[in-house]
Amino acid sequence: MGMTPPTPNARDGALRRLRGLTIGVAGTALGAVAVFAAVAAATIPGHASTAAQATADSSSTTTTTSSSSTSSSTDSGSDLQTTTAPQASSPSGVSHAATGGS
Amino acid sequence: MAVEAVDGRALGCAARLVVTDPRAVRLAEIAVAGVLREIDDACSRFRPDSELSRLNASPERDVALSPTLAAALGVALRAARLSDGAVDPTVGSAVIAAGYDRDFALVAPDGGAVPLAARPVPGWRTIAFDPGRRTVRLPAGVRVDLGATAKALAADLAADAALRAAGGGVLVSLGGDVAMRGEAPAGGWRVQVGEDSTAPLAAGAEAVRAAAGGVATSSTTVRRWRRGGATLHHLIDPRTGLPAGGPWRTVTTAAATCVDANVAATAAIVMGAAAPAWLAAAGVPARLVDRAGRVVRVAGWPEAGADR
Repeated sequence: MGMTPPTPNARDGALRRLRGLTIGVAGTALGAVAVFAAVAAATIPGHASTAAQATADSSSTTTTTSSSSTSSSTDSGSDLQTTTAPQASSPSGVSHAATGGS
Repeated sequence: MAVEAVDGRALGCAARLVVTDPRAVRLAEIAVAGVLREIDDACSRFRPDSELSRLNASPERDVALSPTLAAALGVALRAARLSDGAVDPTVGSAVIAAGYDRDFALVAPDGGAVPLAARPVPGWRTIAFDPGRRTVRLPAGVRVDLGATAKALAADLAADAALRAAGGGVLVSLGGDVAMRGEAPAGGWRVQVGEDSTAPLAAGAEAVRAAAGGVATSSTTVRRWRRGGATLHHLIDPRTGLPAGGPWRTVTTAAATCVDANVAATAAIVMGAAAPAWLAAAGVPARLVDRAGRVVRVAGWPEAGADR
């Protein structure tokens, strides 16, 4: 089975088509990476490092201390974090703790 | 539900840990001790080797902070912002000038007059805090005092840590700053309400029940001393740099965290007559006691008495 050598014009045309195909594949791959990244960012929650958590926002009091990795639930916000009012307690029992000046 | 309590001292005041699972009390105790040690190392203004003391000795330069001190400073600045400056961490020099210049146990209860002049404190906005880089720069003459918020922050952090270690339900009280986490005992945590957190827990005392969050009290009736015949106390009004002199001697509040309860209570003492309206607008349940002992309750704080 024999092959006819391509003419220069035919070879240049083939190279142009190959280059176009390469660019198209690369563009498609980049687009796919971007889509996958967006989907991952939206569906897989991340977290900051402990240091960053402690100081990410001066208005934030979500904190992590250096060695015990304790995190406060004193989450920030532009307002005081309120709760439902405490209930009155019968005077007959003894309390678990006392609040008052110290 | 049986509970187990451990009493001790920390951060210059009485400390109490209560857990609903007595088998886990030791784990909770270890967790709490670790947090309190970190807070003391970072935030004590009385220990010359604390990180805060080193910071106060390093004005006009960028100082890198540990995560703990950065967190505590962030909390203090947030408190200042939310209270419109009523709770301000730049009262350090003012409280020293008033005579509270060492651990309170060492402050003489009486003494000669101290020169006091009404002058606003420098103000929290003078602190250049970069939370991203975890650095801070203090102007010359500014001394930071985290006393208004660090103890409550410690209670919150300690309760968080105890809950992680022990599970169940936990309560941490530091000098009357109470943080509650996890599953409360049946009927809720009972917290005795008074003007002195060292008062013995007793049947018949006014108390409230809460399931979680924080309860805190600020009072001018404790941590007082006399100089030149005048009674002084530790709650400084940033507008004057002098001990606050408004109508309220004690304010107790409840909030989602001990820090926020403490911020509201201290701000109320400083704000004076405007406090009830401010607390009500913020939705913070509070019990205010005026100088004559009259009690005002706002935002749903319950009347003393029987369970309901």
